[in-house]
Amino acid sequence: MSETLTETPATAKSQALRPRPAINLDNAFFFESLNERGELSIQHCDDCNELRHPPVPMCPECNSLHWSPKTMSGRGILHSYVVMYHPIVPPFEPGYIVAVVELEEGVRVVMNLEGVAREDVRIGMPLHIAAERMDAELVLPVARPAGGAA
Amino acid sequence: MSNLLNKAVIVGIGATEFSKNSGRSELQLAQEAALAACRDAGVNPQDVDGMVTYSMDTNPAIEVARGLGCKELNFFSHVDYGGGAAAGTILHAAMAVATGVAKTVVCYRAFNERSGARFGQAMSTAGMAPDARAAAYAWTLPFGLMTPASWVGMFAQRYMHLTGATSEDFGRVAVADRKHAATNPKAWFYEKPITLEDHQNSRWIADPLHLLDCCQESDGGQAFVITTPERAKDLPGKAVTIRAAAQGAAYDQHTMVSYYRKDGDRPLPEMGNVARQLWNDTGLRPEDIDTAVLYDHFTPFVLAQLEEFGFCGRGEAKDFIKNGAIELGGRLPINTNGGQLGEAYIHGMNGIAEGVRQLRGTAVNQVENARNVLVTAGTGVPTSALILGND
Repeated sequence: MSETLTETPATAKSQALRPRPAINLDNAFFFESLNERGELSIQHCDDCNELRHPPVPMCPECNSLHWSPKTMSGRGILHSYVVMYHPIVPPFEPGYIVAVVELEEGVRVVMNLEGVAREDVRIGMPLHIAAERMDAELVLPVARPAGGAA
Repeated sequence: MSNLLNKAVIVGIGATEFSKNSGRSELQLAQEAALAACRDAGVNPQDVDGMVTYSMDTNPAIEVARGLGCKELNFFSHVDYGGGAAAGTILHAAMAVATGVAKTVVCYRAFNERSGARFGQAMSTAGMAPDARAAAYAWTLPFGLMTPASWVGMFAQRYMHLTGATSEDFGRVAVADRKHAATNPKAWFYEKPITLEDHQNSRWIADPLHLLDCCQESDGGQAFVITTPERAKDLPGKAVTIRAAAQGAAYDQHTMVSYYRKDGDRPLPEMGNVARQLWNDTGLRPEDIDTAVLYDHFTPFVLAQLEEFGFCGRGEAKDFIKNGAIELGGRLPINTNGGQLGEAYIHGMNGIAEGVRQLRGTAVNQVENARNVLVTAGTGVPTSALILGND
């Protein structure tokens, strides 16, 4: 997925920005990987190879404190989703979809699902995840149906 | 097994009115509710020596105690995880009186959750230091997953996929709650029952959740007095036994968004932890429970709780609740006060009061000969529950 750092068209309707993630020593790598390299990275235990998300300093499997970010393939399936109608806070617009995506590497990540109509959304559907720039400061992963027209 | 069994009682309950705009401070609501609980118990408020509330309450124990005129406090506890702490306050108080750390403990929760800071609005961490609590929201807020309804809707969609439960099945919980609220003069929705059609026609909040799947936002306060059975014998308040109380978190626990567990397909293992403790501690079984107050901030988790407590098998709650089974006169009447959809959202504490009333025989929707009542606290968060009895 590192090849796809696309621009979301700025809408004239709203200059509001998405909520900023609260970034600290434990989670900065996730947002830096997206912002600087357009990569979705997940915390990987250097000692037992366990992937874990959301990040946590200590590995739940082996209690190791040694870890590094690992770039994901960008392939996954839809685990669950909601379609949001109230309250709507700009820049979001009614009917946007938030999904839990299960990556093929096994961990799940929350992200927006786009490029599919509400009635065509199916749990288990294959997805392609790309890094997309939301504004000058923020790049987030976005899921779209795999193989379909986005 | 816990050795707390039957070693503490609730001897007083007290509350303010439940409204949408109390017109007074949260601290005043807390003091009014605490004083009402003391008067119900027949306890001199100056003799209260312990205080318990929970993490989202804004009223410090010492400020509540100042108003009550408490001579001194020997025990104060601030239980974590919001509505998940409701029954946990009773557990902490019971431990304190059973061990002699304190003699008379007040548990309270009071807020202006409708006229003040509303929980149903979008969460924000703007301006917060990026500590672990704030950073946990980094995985949801930037994507527009910002409200309790959205967090629970995500679980509900998966639950429907796995079990075949439908929006109408969620609606049956709302219909039962509102039926009970309709005959409870203290309920906001007194004399306002709904039909399943009303539920289906209510607007989307976070699809798959309709408006009528969501609890109210309310102003109000609720408090309890906890002491030992021995001390309660000398008090005029009718004591209800705390048979058992438990807190629980589960593996890879998050607050409202435990989407990441490896099995992924059990929405509330933390409530399963609590259930196992309560059944083990009391020796009771689901069939021994006469009525229950199951935390109902959103209807889908009521179904998941029925399964975690073993009232039915996994994925079978949609069948269990059919034909009025959870309404008064059914096999397990739940939320006989109207619940948080019908009576008020007092963060789980008003449900504990209903449990006490059922065992005192003073509920407006009384279950005949109720002997064992289960009350649960907030779902989707680290949680708690208790079983109350009347002997």
